[in-house]
Amino acid sequence: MTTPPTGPHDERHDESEDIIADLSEYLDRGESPPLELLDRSPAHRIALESLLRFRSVARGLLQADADAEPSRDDSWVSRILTNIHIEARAGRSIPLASPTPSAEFSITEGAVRGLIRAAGDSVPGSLIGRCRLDGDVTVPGEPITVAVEASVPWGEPIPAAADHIREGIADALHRHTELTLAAIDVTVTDVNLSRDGQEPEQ
Amino acid sequence: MTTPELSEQLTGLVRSIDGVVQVYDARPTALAAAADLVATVIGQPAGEPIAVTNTGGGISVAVSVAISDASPAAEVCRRILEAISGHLGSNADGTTVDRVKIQVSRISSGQAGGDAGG
Repeated sequence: MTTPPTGPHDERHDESEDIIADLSEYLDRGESPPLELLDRSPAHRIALESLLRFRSVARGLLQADADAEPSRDDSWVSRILTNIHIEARAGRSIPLASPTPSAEFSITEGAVRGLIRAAGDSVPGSLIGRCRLDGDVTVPGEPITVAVEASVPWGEPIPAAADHIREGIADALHRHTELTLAAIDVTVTDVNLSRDGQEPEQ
Repeated sequence: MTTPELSEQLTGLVRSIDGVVQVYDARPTALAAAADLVATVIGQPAGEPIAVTNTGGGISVAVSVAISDASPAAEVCRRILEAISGHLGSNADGTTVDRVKIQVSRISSGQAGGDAGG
């Protein structure tokens, strides 16, 4: 039987920090978090999905980075982890059109940020860092700018990598939301060695 | 039919809808905690996640779900609305629907595995 992880639970900490810590403890032990924990809130599942994607990509990137540059600053890892827990929060309620006035459809900002992260992370070798929805998402038709920071793979031209991330995010948002996208700004903050740890071509 | 019975029926109904992978507690957190505490004290089961309230003008329903990436969020919301409206409309006690709120709280990319399906 799995024992729930214990750890510091300072009440001043944001609850989402505890979520990341709890989930990470299970993953570090090679265990799957129990359904009882995952079903506690949408934030738990959003955080777990993000963590699994992050760990999958980061494992290769960290090894490659370590081989190439032992003294490399790995603050991007903590930045991404920090952003995952921020984005797991529900946030604002984003309206969806409903067929009758007596029905109200919406999607949470946390769900949309999770969607954006998943879309960006699905581009091979890329990892989404900070993710922001600029504009009043609670008002239909308001122009919204999506701003993401990303780590992209070495070897691919940065503009092309940014375009792939932008296309993935746009497709996902058009599929699941009715946001009026003014722009999707991709800021590349890191370039990583290939996932399999190969040296970049000279 | 009592409100808890209706909530239980609707929860089961929504869980069975294509595209819904989980149903979350749509009741306000403090209210849900208080209600579940009272239920425990008096030996009743804890409340169902779908919030059903009688507003006087009819029944108000609030639903919070995780959905799969396979269908657009708005489409899954429409399926849920149709199922709830159909269920309430078929009730013999003449229940009228005042308001239905459906919130998508998560879109599952299917990578975490182990979605409980409700």
